Amino acid sequence: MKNTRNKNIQGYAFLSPFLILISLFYIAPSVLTIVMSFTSLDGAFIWEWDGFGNYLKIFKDPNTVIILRNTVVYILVTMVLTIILDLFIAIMTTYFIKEEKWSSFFKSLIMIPMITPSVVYSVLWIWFLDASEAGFINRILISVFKGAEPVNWIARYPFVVIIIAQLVVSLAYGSIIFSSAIKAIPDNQFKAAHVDGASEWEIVKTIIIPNISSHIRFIAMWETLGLMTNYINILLLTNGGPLNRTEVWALSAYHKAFVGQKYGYGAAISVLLILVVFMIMLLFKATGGIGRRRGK
Amino acid sequence: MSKNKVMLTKRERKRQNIAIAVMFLFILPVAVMFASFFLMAFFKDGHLSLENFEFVIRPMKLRDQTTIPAIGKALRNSVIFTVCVTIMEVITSLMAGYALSRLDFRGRKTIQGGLLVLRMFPTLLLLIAVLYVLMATKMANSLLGVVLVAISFRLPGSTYIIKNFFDGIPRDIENSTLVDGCTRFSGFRQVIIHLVKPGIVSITVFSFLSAWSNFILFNTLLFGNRTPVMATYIRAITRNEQMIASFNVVAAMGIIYMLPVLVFFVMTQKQLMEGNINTSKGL
Amino acid sequence: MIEIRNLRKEFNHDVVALDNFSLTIEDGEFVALLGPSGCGKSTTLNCLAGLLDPTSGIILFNGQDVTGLEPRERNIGMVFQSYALYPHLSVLDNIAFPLKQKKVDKETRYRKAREVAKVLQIEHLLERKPHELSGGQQQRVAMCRAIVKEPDVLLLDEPMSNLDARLKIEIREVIKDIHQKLGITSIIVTHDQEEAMALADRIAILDCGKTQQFDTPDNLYEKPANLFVANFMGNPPMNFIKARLEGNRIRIMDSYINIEMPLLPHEDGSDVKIGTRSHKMPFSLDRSEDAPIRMEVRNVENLGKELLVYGSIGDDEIRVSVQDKSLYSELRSRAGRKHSCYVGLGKSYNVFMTSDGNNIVDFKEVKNA
Repeated sequence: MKNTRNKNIQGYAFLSPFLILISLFYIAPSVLTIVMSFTSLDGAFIWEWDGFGNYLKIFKDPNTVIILRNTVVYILVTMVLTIILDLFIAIMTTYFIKEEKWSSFFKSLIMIPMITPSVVYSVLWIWFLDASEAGFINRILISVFKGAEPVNWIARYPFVVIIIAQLVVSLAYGSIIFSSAIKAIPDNQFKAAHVDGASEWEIVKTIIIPNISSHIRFIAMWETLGLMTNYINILLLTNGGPLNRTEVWALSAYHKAFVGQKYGYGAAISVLLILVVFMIMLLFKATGGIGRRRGK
Repeated sequence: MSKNKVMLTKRERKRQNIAIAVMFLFILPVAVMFASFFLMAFFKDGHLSLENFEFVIRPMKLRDQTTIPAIGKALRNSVIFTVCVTIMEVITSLMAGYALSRLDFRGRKTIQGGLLVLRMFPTLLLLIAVLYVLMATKMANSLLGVVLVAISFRLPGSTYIIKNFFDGIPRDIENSTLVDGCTRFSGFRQVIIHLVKPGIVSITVFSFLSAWSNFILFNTLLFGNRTPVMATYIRAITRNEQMIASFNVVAAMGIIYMLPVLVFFVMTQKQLMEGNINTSKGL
Repeated sequence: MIEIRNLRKEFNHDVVALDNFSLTIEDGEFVALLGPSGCGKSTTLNCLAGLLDPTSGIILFNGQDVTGLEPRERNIGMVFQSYALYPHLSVLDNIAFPLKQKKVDKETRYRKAREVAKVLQIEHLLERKPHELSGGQQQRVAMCRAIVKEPDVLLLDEPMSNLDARLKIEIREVIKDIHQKLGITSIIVTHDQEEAMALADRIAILDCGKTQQFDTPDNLYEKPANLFVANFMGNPPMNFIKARLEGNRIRIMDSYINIEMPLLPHEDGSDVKIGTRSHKMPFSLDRSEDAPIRMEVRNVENLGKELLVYGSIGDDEIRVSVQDKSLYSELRSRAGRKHSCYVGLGKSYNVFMTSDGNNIVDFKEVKNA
């Protein structure tokens, strides 16, 4: 019918820029990545079919085990710490601090690392932990313990450094989500608990956490996906080093492709990770998503 | 809800004071770290000075005798990049969000479903293939290519946020514009757009911040130092092994780089927070 | 004149909201579309406005086919349930908005906007924004915006459902007033029969996408075409009593009453429901010729001007108005002891077939009482 056709034309007219960009930079690259992963494409840009060669190479590479272990530890530790601290901040700034000016003051401060450009943020840490006496921590160390030797923090504890650095940036998002969820809990639940003589810890445990459990699940998934695929802070801070000690899966795809010019190999590493990402998304969907917000 | 002053009981006041103290202690280390880093920019050899900012006006010689170019070109490129990305991203996501929320066409449900997946898609893992697409379309190593990629990577998220805002506009209002003599487009321009202003502000803020701070796209999609932007400009110096000698200069650069972000942040932190909350809705 | 011919509207290819729906509305007439939610009344209105495309059928305005026209090409004014005022515009700009779309110059459109605002007594609010107004005031602004461009048709989509009872009556008068002053053909959609009765010249009662009856309020009240209409009209609702037609008599429980109403041809021994209004039923404490049917008294209310007796005949719940208020205490005590009184059917009632719900009283034969 004429009307339906017009409506289709109208709809796609509005959507066309969106669809063009999505096809160019999501769909085409997705297909290409999969195709590339079966070729030995390199800096010369010659497409040569290689079957499962790249995948076999991944399994044979002795570094794969180290990278895999790094990735899992990095994600789990950072994610768990992020959620715990997010909850801490959200409960502090919403439940204990009732005055809007104070709670938004703290929430704003926490957002500053998030909005700091990663290039600046990484330099900040590099300076802070610098191996010489110019480093902030070393300067304090030396002025407190006379005669102490400056420590090369990043070289000695690279894994701890990337976890803490990532943690500080991650805090803002989750704590804002959690605190808006806590705000939505009806006040009379807290009043009833107070009347029943519940302690603060019991209130946190029996009212706040259950009420925002779907948000916690969401943040857990969100952070997992983010940590799994976003390697920028590691790239800028340690670049995977020293000696692969902080190399994670996504970063290794970057290294293989953009440093080693092995595009096919990098694509294969990416494909495996994308599969994992999709599985996590499906798992989250299957367990009920975030659930609709309660009515007012 | 209540914007009015909350009345606190004595007990609540006491709890709040303790909580404020705890939060101060919690934030202190990072606050000290940030503050002392940026303060460093204003000192040279232990004296208060603005010499570290020399790169703002002319090429500057560092202690290790390397010379860094003036910041002008990088700053200009960054501004152009950010403005283009923000404007185009807002327009594109407005159009797409409107269509997905309001227009009736074949395949709408499919695209709506796809949007949810796209929002969480690990874009950085596609960079290898994106580079290839750019080469195939003759946009490799150009600012335009990076602009388009930057828009695309954020587009599903922005579209999703703005679609939620459109969903919140009552049907009656839109029908009313049609009855009152508007076409769909003139009704959109005269009425609907005003009702999604908070949404537009929200995606503008996100788009601006992420475009301005972007590093990885320039790092991977632009080669040769033909088009420096703020991120690559600063990164180039910090790669230098002798950086220790020039931390003060780096801090000064950091300040220049952070200044627009901070100004924007102070102006829009409320929208930023609400925008954050919006991203988690209805998954 | 507005003609709706054989309108059909499906949603998502399977939900039928309107089915073969036809209606003719005369110039200057005020018509109400009345029915429960989901009956298709709003769909009809939206089709008239051009906001929905009918699946089939046509709509004529003054003989011209408007079915395919955009809303803006139909010269209609519409008041929405939520008022749909534009929140970013002042009241004055809201009212002038339709004229702006017609490219009327600024001075004229503000002058006209002020004129209608005066008619609806909101001149003092013109500089405000919609959110600074009360519900009733917003309603008036919406009315102004709908009539400012002097539309051929005024459509009102449940315009009063968000107002409290007192405001409803006030706005009802305003609407009635405007209609009388301007004589615009008006169509109101409502689920409130009182509102429809008060405003409309004729009411179309809809159910399941079909017209049940399209008639004047009086006729709907007195001569409902079927059980659905009878159920819908009147407060208190009509009493329904199960009965059987036997020859020229009606049998209710074990009482027989002569049929007083002329009936359309029907099968002898049909099961029917007698529909009668509470104030049309003869009442007496003891069995009499007028009131031969035993009713068990449940409760009695003193309404001031009369008594309202609640009771049951068999398992049919009924209400009867009693003018003699001196019976109150006697009825109270009977209600307490579950005793009975007697009622009759009187001279005017309706007879609905149990099988299809249609009224089989032959109203052409009924002498105008």
